[in-house]
This record gives sequence, structure tokens and C-alpha cells, in this order.
Amino acid sequence: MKESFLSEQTVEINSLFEDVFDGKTPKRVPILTNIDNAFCLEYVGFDLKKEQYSIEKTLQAIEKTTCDFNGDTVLGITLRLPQLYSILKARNFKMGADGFLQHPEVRGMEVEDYDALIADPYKALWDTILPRIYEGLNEPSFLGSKTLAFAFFTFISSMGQLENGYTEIASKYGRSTYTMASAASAEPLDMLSDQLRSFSEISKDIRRYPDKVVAACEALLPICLKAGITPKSNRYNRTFVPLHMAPYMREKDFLKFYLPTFSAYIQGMADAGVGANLFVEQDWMRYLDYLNELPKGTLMVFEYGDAKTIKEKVGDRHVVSGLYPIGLLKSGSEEQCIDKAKELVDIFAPGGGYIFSFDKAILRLNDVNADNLKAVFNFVHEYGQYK
Amino acid sequence: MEVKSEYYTNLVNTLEKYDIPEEAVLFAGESLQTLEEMLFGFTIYLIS
Amino acid sequence: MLDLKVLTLALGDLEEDQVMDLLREFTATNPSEGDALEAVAACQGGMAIVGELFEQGEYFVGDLIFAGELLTEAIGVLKPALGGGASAVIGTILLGTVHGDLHDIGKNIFRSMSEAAGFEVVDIGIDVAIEEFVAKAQEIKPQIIGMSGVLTLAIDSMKETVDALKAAGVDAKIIIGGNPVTKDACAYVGADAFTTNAAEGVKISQDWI
Ligand code: B12
Repeated sequence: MKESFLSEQTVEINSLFEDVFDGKTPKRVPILTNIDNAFCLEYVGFDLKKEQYSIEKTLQAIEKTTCDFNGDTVLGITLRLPQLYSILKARNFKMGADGFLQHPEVRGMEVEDYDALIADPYKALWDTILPRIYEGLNEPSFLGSKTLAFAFFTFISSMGQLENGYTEIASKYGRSTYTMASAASAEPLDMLSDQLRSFSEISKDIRRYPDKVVAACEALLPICLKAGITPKSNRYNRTFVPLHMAPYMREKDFLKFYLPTFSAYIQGMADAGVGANLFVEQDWMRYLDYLNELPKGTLMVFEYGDAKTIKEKVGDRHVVSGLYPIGLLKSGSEEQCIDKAKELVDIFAPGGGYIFSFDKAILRLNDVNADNLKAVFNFVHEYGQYK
Repeated sequence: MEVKSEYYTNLVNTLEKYDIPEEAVLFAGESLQTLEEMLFGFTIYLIS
Repeated sequence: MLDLKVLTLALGDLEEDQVMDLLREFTATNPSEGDALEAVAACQGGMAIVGELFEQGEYFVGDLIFAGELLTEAIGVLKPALGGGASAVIGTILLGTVHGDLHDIGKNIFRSMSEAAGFEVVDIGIDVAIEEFVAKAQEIKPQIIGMSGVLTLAIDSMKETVDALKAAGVDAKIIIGGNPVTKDACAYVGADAFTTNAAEGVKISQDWI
């Protein structure tokens, strides 16, 4: 995005992020949140079962939320498109009774598919795996093609509409045009686990078919890299990498199945000049030394762990973030919420290399008390100034 | 980045596949290869 | 002769091939129902080792999942030899994922570990409506009710479910589990105990009986 299109305030907030990723101390601690568009829809009083289907309504909700909360970016990440899952007759994302999309434990890939995946992952996806997940793709004759055409068009047009909308909102309200996820892709073992083999099945596969799992990760690595490095990716337009399976594995399994292709993926992006935003989900404290060895300047948003130890072990080389418990925003008093923010800023901010963020994605309006959320944003704006 | 797959066509092969004359390479790259890349992006979304 | 200690240790070490070989050799000898029940108990002993190693940080959730699979497989092999005989039940747990949440991996792990510890578990699935929890609790009168959830929205659902159970006069002990569960959340929900560790959940349940 050319700077001349952006408002002065947007340029200034962008520079906070740029400084952090350039290894310079910014003027103030920037805030980068992971808030779902469902939160925004509910915040403005829309019903997930209705307005969620409309990109226009979604953008309206995001605009109002961005305007009301003093975050540094546009608030409300729209990841899931219900209309797309309906068209595709998806099994992997289903609505609960309240309309919120969730992932039940289903899998697109069976053990006997490993060899095909290893030989040509992109082909195996379209030949067998995606049709298992998306039943609409199996419709006979023209109908299957029609489903795919509808789905592809919905995806491209919705994403385009959203991207334009976000940039407009950012400029209008003086927010950063950077986001948690300029692009996004899991690392190889997580890509294999999330939608293909599933959490439970991969836990069995690493014992029963260890060689196939390793080979599958190696085969998926180029796919991950291609997804993680897009034409607009760079050090500031970074790639979101949610991390899933590692904390659920023994260290020796982690070293064999996870780390090799995980670090190759992050390194490959760094070699192409692309920064990674890791969402370090669950407890990674026993792996901090491995995280520290990743390419310098990787953003790590932690869900659990001790702030001091994290700052000490990875804070010199990397940008640290996260840990602020959203549970407190729900049940705590405003004072408790602010004290917690102060505690984290005091530990993480000195010397730079810190972006304020939460431990978990905020998904629904009821996940937090909105007033506490506002108070914490305001506090970080004031207290997070570097002198 | 490129992936090797029977189902993924890179720019050189795209030009061959659709018989694009040399003087149109630049323009066809934009209009045809972009589709290939968009479909790849869509695929990743479907497994995310 | 089946060496029960070796079987227990093999299951504790998650040595699938060894466990299966031992059991197949054993069932080939046409064991009595009593002997088969002892083999089941030995497998459950292995599961207890798995739980301990999990609590000590030697095993992780992936290992628990594999252990559950292994135990199911083992009991499948023993089944023909078991006849109608069943191991003693130490108590009943009513278990489900609360409404609004569709996740079940954690719930299933807790189920297989508490079954291995001798509980009878009545699993009523995911996205369980409040009324269903209440009706089932009144029907089977469990000593313990377990609720699971992965998303933070589950906390409100747990609270609503607990409130309704209490209002209906259900006096079972209530334990909640899953990633968003904390001490504060437990107080808010009004449950008797909470944990993000299935093995600990089994211990708490055992203490209650
Ligand atoms: C793996 C994972 C995924 C996978 C799911 C794969 C699958 N097959 O289900 C995928 C990639 C699909 C995924 C998708 C999403 N995820 Co996700 N995911 C996770 C992750 C890393 C692990 C969840 C999990 O399955 N754990 C394994 C189970 C076994 O653990 P557990 O439930 O805690 O159970 C243990 C104990 O708690 C206990 N237990 C559980 N129940 C019970 C019950 C009783 C009675 C007892 C005694 C004990 C007990 O026993 C278990 C073993 O000890 C978590 C991070 C985390 N810290 O949990 C995020 C997390 C759950 N995901 C999150 C999000 C935001 C999402 C998405 C919404 C993202 C998006 N916008 O699309 C989607 C959709 C949500 C969904 N899952 O429906 C957030 C939820 C935030 C929130 N506010 O709640 C989390 C917490 C990450 C984060 N820090 O923000 N996710």
C-alpha cells in the first residue's frame, strides 16, 4: 500500500510496527489483537445467524467496533465465511445452535492416503482429501463444477471486498494497515494435523507410521512456503502461523516430527524477506530455547507461560507478545485489568521488541466485558509510551 | 514460489498450454497465471 | 502364562505391538473369564501408569490419546474371553460438552481414563442442551457430573447448566475441564472442582467416591 493513500495517523501507527520489526524502539508499545468478526457482529447487536452471511454488514460491524475501541489495528478478523461453507456442504466447520462456526473433530485424509499425499500433495488434496471434507464437491456432473465455481468466486470476491473495506476503515479511523495475518499458513505438521489427519489421528500416526508422517511433512513444506510467501509479503506484511501440535507431544517426538520442517518453514520465509507472526498456542515453556533459534525478529504471541522467563529467553532476539488473559477481561474489575496490563508492559516493554496482545482470540461479545477491553487499550496507549 | 504438481501450472507451462504468442507473455502472465495463484490460495484456505 | 506385570508395563510404555502380541497369545490359550478379567485389570493398571507419567510431564496429550486407543484395542481382543463378566464399577459419571461448544477430544480423553479407573461413564456428547443434562442426571443419578469445553464461551454455558442442575435439585459433584477453565471460572460457574488435566480430574473423582 503506497503511503500517499494513507492518512497521517495511519502512517504514524504503521511506523510503530515498522520500528518494532526493524529492531528499533518505537514511540509506544503497539497493540495487535486477535478479535473475531463474530465479536464485532454481536457488539453492534447483529445476529450471527443472519448478518454473519453478509460481507457488507460484517464490515459495518467492524467499522463501528474499530471506531469505539482504541486499538491500533482494524478490529475484527474475518476468517470464516459461512456462505462458503454452506455452498461446499462443509463437514469441518459447523454452526452451533447460536450460529457460531466451529470445528468438530473430522478428518479429510485416511492412513491409506499418505503415499499419494507424499507423492503430490496438491493433487492429493483435490483428488481425495477436499472432496471428503466438502461434500458439495462430490455432486455429480455439472453440479460439482458449479459448486466449485460458486465457492471459488465467493472466496475471491468476499476476500477482495473485505480487504478493501479494511483499508478504508484503517485510513478513516487512523488505524494501522498492518494486521496479524497479511497471509497465513500453518507449518507442515500442523497442516497435516488440523484438517487432514486431525488432532487425534496424528497422535496415533506418529507412533504407527512415523516414516510416513516425516515424509508427509517434507512434502508439505513447499506448499506451506508458497502459501506463506505471497507477492505482497515482506517484513511488515507478515504471515500468521498458528502453532498447534507441539505442546501436546513429547520433546523427542517434537524433535523428530515437528521442529525440522517447522524451522525450515520459518527460515524459508525469512530467506525470502518475509516475517512470521507465530501464535504460540498452549504452553511452550519447555521449547523456548528452540524458539529462540528461529530467524531473528520473529513475532511470538504466547498463550501461556511466565513473562519474565519468556523475555529473558527469547526477548532479545525476537518480538514477544501475548499472555494477557482474556478471562480477566470477563470477570475482573477495571482496576485488576489495568494492573495486569501494567505488569506485562513493565516486564515486556523495556528495550523494545514488544507488541501488546492477548492470550487467546476474543471470539464472542460475552468472552469479555467490553468496558474492561476499552480501559485496557486506553491504558496501554498512555502507559506504553517510551521516553 | 513454485510447487511441483500435476495440478499446478507455472507461468512457462501456462504460456505453452494456452499457446500464448511471445509478445503477449506479460499480459497473459497477469491474466492467466493470476488465476492459477488464486486457486492455490483458495486451496490453502480450504485446509486452514 | 500371561505375565500381568509385563502387560501392565508394556501398556504403560505404550508399546502397542508388545501389548497386542501378549494378549493374542493369551486369548489363544482359551483363558477363563476370571483370568481375562485379571488381564483387563492389568491393562487398566497400565493406564494408571500413563496417567502418572502425564502428571509428571513425561507424557503429553497426544500420548493420552494413543493410550486410550491402545486400551480400547486391548479390551477388544479380550472381549470374547470375558463373557458377560464385567469389572467392578466404582461410581458413575455423567459427561458431556456444554451447549454452544462442539469439541470432544478432551472429553473423550477424560472418559477413557476414568473408565480405566473403574468408573461407568455415561457420555451424552457435544453441544448438550441444559435440559438434556438435567434430564439425564435425574434419570441415572450419577455421583459425578463432568462438563467439558474448549472455547471461552463454554464458561457461560457451564454456569447456566450448573444453575439449572442445582435448581432441579441434582446434588452430584460437578467437575469442569477444558482449556478455558480456571480457578476464577470455576467460582463463577459454581462447580465443585476444575482441571485442565484429565489425569488430575480422575484423581479428584476417585477422592469423591
Ligand atoms: C488444535 C486447535 C485447533 C484445531 C482443532 C483440531 C481439532 N481436531 O479439533 C483447529 C485448527 C481446527 C482449530 C480451529 C480453531 N481454533 Co483452535 N485451537 C486448537 C488448540 C491448539 C488445541 C485445542 C485442543 O483440541 N486441545 C486438545 C484437548 C485434548 O485439550 P483440552 O480440551 O484442554 O482437554 C484437556 C483438559 O482440559 C482435560 N479436559 C477436557 N475436558 C474435560 C472435562 C472434564 C470433566 C475433565 C475432568 C477434564 C477435561 O483433559 C484434556 C487432557 O488433559 C487450542 C489452544 C489451547 N490452548 O487449547 C486452540 C484454540 C482452542 N483455538 C482457538 C480458536 C480461536 C480457533 C478458531 C475459532 C480460529 C478461527 N477463527 O477459525 C477455529 C475454530 C474453533 C474451533 N476449534 O471450533 C482459540 C479459542 C479462543 C477462545 N476464546 O476460546 C484457542 C484457545 C487458541 C487461542 N489461544 O486463542 N483449533
